[in-house]
Amino acid sequence: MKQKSPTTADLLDLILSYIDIPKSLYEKARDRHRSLGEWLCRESSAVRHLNPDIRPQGSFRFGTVNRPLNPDDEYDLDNVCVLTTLQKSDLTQQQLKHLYGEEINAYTREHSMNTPVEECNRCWRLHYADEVSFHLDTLPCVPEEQAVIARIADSGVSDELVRRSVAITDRRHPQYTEITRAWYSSNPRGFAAWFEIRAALGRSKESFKEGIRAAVEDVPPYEWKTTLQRSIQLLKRHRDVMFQDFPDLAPISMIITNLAANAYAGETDLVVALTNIVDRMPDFVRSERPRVPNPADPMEDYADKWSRDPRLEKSFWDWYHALKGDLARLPGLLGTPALSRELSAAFAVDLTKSERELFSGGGSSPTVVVCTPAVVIPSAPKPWGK
Amino acid sequence: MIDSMRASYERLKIDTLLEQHLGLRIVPSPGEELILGGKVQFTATGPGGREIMDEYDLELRIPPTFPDDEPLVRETAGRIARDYHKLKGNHLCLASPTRIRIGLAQSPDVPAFVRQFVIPYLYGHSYHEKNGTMPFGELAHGPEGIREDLASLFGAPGASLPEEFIRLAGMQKRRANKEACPCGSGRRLGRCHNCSVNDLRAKLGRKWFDREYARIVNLFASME
Repeated sequence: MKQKSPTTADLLDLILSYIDIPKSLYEKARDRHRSLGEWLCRESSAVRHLNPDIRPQGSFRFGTVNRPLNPDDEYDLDNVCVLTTLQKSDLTQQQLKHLYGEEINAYTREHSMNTPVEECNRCWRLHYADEVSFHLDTLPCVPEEQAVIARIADSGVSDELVRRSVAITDRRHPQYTEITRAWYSSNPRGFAAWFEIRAALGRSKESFKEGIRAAVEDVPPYEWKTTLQRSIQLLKRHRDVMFQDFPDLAPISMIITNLAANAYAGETDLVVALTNIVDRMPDFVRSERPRVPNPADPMEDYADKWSRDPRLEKSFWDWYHALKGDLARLPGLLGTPALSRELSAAFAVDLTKSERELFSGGGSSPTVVVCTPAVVIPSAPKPWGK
Repeated sequence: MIDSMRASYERLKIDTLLEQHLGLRIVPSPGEELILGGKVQFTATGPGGREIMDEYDLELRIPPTFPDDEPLVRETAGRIARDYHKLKGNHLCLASPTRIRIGLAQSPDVPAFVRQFVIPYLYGHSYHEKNGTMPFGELAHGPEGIREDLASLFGAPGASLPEEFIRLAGMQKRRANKEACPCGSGRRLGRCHNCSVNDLRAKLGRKWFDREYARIVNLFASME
């Protein structure tokens, strides 16, 4: 019996099968967060009385993690630790950073982690070096004060999101070592909550059926695998491949995640979702600052570096048009040998022989596929230079 | 100003170019230029009705000032010999700069540039490889070739300083017509090659030629 010809949807599923990570890795990440949370709440912890609340962030929370392009690359884990009973007026940013840092250092000693904890501008970075290499960025912060929350709420952000605002420490802050109310404000947890609302638009009946856990409501967002999450994985993979040689210029995941989630309208078909997301994404890049605002705190600009380094904005548009071009080509290449080359160039996916037979028409001959409209040249400029 | 980057990519019609040329890709670069690399395939029919289907490996660098400044194109697989028509830096000499800017005045986008200048050049090279002759003829090297091209553009092959036509196209019609015609006839422009100058002035505007004249004077100064 002749096999059914594969569709574009089958092709996107195939790419995703190459870049997806096993569920066990998400569980491992969850265990890392849990273990750190338990450490901070143990009897002798110096921050236990401050009622720490630790929540995962970033792609492990959103369910948008890809296998790294280079097998030696580390997975990035992020979490936010709010010391819920503390206020900005209680201590300096530096004091909070060091108080938290001592606990994190003690954690690595207790767990015999060989690489020392690294202090970043806003967070502490722990390096895990077991069978899967991770690094974990953990961000200490305090709840934002009511006056600031009220100001953000006035700009139209819902209570649900704005109440998650926090004040963060930053070594570059001019009053880092003073008691002041002028800490930088941020809202990563509000962004995560907003993202989950957007992703939930696309939770189809299928994903409910596929819910692995007994109770559907218990399924954490990273297991939803909506068309939004899968689209973001494809966008990020394309970005990673395109900017292999210029990683510093690559559009950051938070910009891609933000724009894609804004552009998403709950489409349950992956091809439709991805096409619409890519078409609408540019509409959410504002022409003035903040260029790509955090929906949970519009003054927080995920593209704040664009104004200091215009190459970053150029790279974003380079990537965007490359992505659009590559996605538009895929359907027309199904069943042709050129598909294998395109998948390898755009997504660093090298098909197996059987996949090539199914998707690429089986051939591996370098047939020239001319799609350019034929040109008639009645006359032409005469070349002149040497 | 801030929005111009998004708008300028749309003006370049990069999406159309990538649809037409499946072998081309955008290449990230730290510079200001937009770089495209890969295979350009074409099927083209020249003046003698000869159809050629071929492909070349190219790199196209589109400057942020496009179309005021023309893109630089290189052939990257070493197929086009150094002594074939090339500029400094091994870039392909597609046409004289003024002719490229005039060609792009109507549709200032990259697909038009490729269609009007890159593919005819590649066709010419493929034709030359097969037949040993140039299908569209060729010009002398350096400023002499540019002048020859400008002279033919204004329909005055004998003109010794054809860049004067550009200067006159950059002036008000009334004033330009009173000046001597650069073709060397000894008559006023108004009674000589005024039609070709007026046509191009009407098409592209006086300011455009004003800027073009400054560019061409600089270009000659750098070459002579």
